[in-house]
Amino acid sequence: MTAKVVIESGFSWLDHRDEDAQRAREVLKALDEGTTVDSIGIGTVRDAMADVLFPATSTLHTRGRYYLFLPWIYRSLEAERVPSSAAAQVGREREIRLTYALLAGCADGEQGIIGREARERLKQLPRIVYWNGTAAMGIRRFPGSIRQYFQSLDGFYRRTRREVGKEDDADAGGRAAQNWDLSLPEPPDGWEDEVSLALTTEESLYLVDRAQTSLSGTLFAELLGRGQPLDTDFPWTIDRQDHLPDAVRRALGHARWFSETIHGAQLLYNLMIAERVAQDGGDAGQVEHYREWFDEWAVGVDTAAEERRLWDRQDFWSAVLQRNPRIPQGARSLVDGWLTAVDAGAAGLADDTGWRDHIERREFALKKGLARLRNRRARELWGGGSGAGQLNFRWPQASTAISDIAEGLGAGS
Amino acid sequence: MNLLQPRDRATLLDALRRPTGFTFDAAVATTYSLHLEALLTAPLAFALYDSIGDNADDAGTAGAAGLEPITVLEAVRRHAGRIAVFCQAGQIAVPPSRPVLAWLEEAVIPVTAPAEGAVFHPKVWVIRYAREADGARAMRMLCLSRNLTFDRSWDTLLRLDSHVLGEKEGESGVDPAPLQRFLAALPSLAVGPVPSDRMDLVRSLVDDLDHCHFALPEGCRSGRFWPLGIGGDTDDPLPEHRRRTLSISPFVTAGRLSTLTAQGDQHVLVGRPDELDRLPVGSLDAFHDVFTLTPDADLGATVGADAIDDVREGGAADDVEHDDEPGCSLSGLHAKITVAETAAGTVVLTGSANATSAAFAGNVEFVTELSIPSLRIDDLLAPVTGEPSLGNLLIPYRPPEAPAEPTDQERLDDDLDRLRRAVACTVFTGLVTPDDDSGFVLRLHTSTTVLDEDPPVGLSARVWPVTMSDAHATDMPLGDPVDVTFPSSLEGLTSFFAVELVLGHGELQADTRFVVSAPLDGVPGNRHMRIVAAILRDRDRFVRYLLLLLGDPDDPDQLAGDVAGWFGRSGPGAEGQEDIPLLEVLVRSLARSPSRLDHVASLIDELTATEDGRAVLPPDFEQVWAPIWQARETIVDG
Repeated sequence: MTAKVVIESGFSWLDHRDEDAQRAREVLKALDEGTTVDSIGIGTVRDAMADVLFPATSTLHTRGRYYLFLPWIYRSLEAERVPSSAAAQVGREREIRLTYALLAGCADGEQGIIGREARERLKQLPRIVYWNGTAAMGIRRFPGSIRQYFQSLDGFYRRTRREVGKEDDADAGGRAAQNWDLSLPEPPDGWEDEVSLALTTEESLYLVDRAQTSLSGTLFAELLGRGQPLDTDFPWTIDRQDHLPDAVRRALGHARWFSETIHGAQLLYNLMIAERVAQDGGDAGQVEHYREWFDEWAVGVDTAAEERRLWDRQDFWSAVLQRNPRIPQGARSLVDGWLTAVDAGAAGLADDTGWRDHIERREFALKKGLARLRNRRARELWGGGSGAGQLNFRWPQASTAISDIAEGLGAGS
Repeated sequence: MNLLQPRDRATLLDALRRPTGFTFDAAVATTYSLHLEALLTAPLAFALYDSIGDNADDAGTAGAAGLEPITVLEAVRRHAGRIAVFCQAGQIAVPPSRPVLAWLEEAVIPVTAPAEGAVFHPKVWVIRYAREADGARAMRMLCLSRNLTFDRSWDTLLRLDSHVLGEKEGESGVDPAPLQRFLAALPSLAVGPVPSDRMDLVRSLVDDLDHCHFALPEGCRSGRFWPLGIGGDTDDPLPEHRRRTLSISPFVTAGRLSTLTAQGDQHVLVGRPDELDRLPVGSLDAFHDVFTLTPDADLGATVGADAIDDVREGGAADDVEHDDEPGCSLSGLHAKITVAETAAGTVVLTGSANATSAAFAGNVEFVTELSIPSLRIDDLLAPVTGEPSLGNLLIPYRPPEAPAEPTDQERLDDDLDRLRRAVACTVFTGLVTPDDDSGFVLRLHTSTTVLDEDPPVGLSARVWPVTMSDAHATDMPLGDPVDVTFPSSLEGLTSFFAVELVLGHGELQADTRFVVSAPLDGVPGNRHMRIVAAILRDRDRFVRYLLLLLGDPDDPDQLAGDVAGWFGRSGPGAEGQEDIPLLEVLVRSLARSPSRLDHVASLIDELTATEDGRAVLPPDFEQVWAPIWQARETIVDG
């Protein structure tokens, strides 16, 4: 005799488990061909240089006041003694509430409100985006990851309760380590329901002070100290560079020459893909586009050759390696080789078979079957430009934060 | 009797799960909008419960976490051929390029409502499960308010399980005939030709419903299926002699609301504030109470760990809160429920139909009626102390002084929606021809223009295969029949094409992207195998896949244990595979189920054809394989 079928008829709400949808997508992604970013592998050098100039920033950053929103939210959780087990969820709810508060408190179309579109479905919570930045600024004092922070809260409450007891005994013992900087300004009244992205004078002064204490000797701290909004395309086109301290000015020079020079390699890589897409039978228009762009670049760097001779490349590498001692050898030799080649004259490099070969081998070594230059299928997934833009070392994010803070300084006067 | 309290919840994944002892056999699903990745949930659900066995507790806690890529690949490959999904043409969202989508191409059948200007809106699953041991079959019917998308909203799920077919005598609690009529009508709504195997699949489900005895949920006395908009039965499911009505509906129109309130009093409406704001003044006068969900009403779905995932690469497009846009997600209310207290008892209507005039005048919809004598509207709405209840989540609605008028942008978006569905209702066909060097030319063409009317000024269109980036897009003619070509690799071939429409009007601009399906002619026979080979890009994956294919069907757990053991002990590195008794597995398969080796053979042919493919095979594999395959070829299938 066979068993009957189990009947589970029912009428209910249809639940949605984010983990299920997420896992399903992850699994599908695992069956993908994969994506290729940083195809010729210069990302490590780029990021090290960005960390030299603008520590405490990230490409995901939006607006300066988030350096404060994050500690305000989590300090309020601590004040309410939200237990470790609930902190992730309660924190998430508060962060989403912040999105709504900002939507209520900002002008229509205000840029940089995290979660404006995703709302409740937001995944890149501010705590992910700003976790490292707040520590670099010396605002977050808790030294670990977000997860460790949540886990630490129960113990943190126990320790601080004991200390309150000690104070009652008039015993001025050492205080428990604080998770957030003690001089953090207070949030404005009613900020949980309505708040803007405009910093107050007090808040801006605080952030400038933090940067000058924790990040002294960086371009980020210097520009914050100037208190002026910025709107240039690149950090090396700002005015009054001669007022910068020597070390900062040197770092800015490294960034500029590296960015301008390596751009040619990025363009050559894209030109080569475009040529092969055309050979596949695809759109040939991109070939001309990248050829013209490359030629324009070559004229630019050749014109600046004289000025570039003063660039101390050894000093550049020592700055980069100090930030990240593990720059892969392949990246170093590509960058160094290219810089040398450009110094000898950039104009002919687009047709230099040695360099074309070098770039193709470099991509294949990094990307294997996903290498666009060798694999037609990978070219079909090519979006028409792969890292073709000139490196700017997180300048858009850094300059927005600097401008926000500068405007706050002027707010009171 | 209390119904639909916030903690009564089930997921689609659970609802698709096979009954203990059964395996998935066939399914038909319908939806308005379609997310192809969400459609993959179905084979994923079958894969999930196939791989973790029948232990309900494990399944409940494991959820999708138990999914493993190679298992999923095989589940999609095996099950997708037994699924047919009918969806409104023009409402398929553009997916990221995913190789596994190749198996869904013939499963997706774009349709449209027969009535002019109406849409195909039902959200139904009919699934058949089979038991290998004795050939027993059982069916399940799901009637939902959510489309096949990753939406996160307040939606309902009605699940009706059948007894084993032919086992239970007497009247079914629900007459299957209207459901049969609905299923049988689906192929006739298709925009293009329907593959013959999918026609057969629909027909066999219709036939089996003859013997199908659905069990009703607890507390229900009877049920009735109401397919709307397919011709024939044009009755309104709203019962007569109503004393009081509760309507829950995200979208509303004044006409339908006045029908709902034409009998009885003390009516209650639960809607979405942005939609209620559009009603003409006075539309809500006949309601005693009008509520909306509190803005922070959350399904309480547990939120996953902080994961930086694909928000940036694909997330932006599905962040638009617009129900018509394919690929968008709603939060908030999406359930459509009418509860009517009548002299003869209380009736619940649930399914796809909003409280709008369109839902009952042309749209294809599916509604299920449940008679629940003991249900009272007041009980449903009463706040429950100590736990979350529906009543606790409602706040009174205050209408604006004047109804919200659609903005110019919204009007433009509406125009574009109409154009999108018109373009998507064109019959597209695809043709694959070999190119000079190992490549192909993928040709997309139509025999008519994509619009019946003259294309409006300011409208432009582009098209490209979904397997490629939009940098490969080409302009799509609007005034002439389409005939465009794309050079393509074998993996780039697809019958899914992304279309982008841009409509400019003065300063304003609206744009939309969606998928059209163009059945392909001339596809090389090894295409699917080539994709499998590309997915099995390393040795570890190849070995896992082989073990999965050749595992003992009578003892899947043992194999799962073996695999876990081998990989757990040695890790997935190349050296660890020395321990895996591949020869034993192959010999066992030769002895017990030699036909399983055929799929392995075509895979190995594909892999040995390229250098990259050969690198995937374990060292000396070909020496082991050759004699096995020689032996297999001498066995005649019996």
